[in-house]
Amino acid sequence: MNQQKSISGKDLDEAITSDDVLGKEVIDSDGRFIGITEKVFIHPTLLDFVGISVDKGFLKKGLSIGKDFIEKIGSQAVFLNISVAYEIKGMKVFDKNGKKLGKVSGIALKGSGNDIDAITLSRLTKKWIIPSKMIDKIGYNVILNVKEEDILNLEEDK
Amino acid sequence: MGTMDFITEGNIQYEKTLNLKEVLSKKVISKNGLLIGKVSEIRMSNNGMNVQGIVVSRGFLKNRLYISKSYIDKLTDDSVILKIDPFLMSRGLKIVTSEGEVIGKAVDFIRKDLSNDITAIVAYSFLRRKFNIPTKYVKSKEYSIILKPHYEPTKKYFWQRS
Repeated sequence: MNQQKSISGKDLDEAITSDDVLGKEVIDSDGRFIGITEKVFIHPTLLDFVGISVDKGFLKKGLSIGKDFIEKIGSQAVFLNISVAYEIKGMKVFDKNGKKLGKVSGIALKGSGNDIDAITLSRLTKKWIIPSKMIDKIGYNVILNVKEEDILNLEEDK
Repeated sequence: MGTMDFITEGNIQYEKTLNLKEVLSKKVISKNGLLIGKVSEIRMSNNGMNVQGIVVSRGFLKNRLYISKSYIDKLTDDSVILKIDPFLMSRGLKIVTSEGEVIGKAVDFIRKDLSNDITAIVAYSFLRRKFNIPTKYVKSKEYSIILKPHYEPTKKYFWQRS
């Protein structure tokens, strides 16, 4: 086959193409499989790569991820350098003594980044907004640094 | 219930002690919040009356787990919180290379004695069969096991003598 001509003025041997990104699994820093890359975003005037859009599967909302949160585009997957905050939805919430309080039903982020501002804790019909300063650890589930009584003293979210 | 008389020496406050009966059947949670199971036994030393560890029931058909006190962060009225995420709970996790290739699943771990420190992961895939991955190649472990860039996965075989 004839070799493709190039007028890029640059060595493109090291470059990757959109085909190398699209359709790949996206894995976050905790090793969670987030979804599949479905779009590549490019700035219209600067022509820089801005980020990717991730298809999380049937009936799930997609997710856009800025390039600052991408660690590496591997040959078989895209690795992120963050644990995606939205993935904590549905996790169990424990107080500092390990008492189960409920589940995360909502997340509020700071601006358009990945930092959590607050989570919504749901237990049966009740809901509380828990500020991030009350969160000790987020791993397999959420562990707070306060006791259940402190949460019950918070105003309920109507 | 009637009042209680005390026979004690020193300044140990009764209110600061824990009724071990209350801890039985409480949840056991790992360092990062993974629900391990429920406390089925609390093991004490024969002499010294110290708690040595707990036995955790993990559910139907699953092996019980003994966790020694050095891995326990705190015993509370509500649960037992560990200082570790037990590696044994990571059986079945996918193993992913630095390029994103899933090369198998963790089926077992080679540990230093009976501790939670491991020296290698025993992995399995249909085409690669069983193979060991030393921990020096492990970058992170939580929802899957991600390997460092310099790990060369074993080749796939379509035929292999067992």
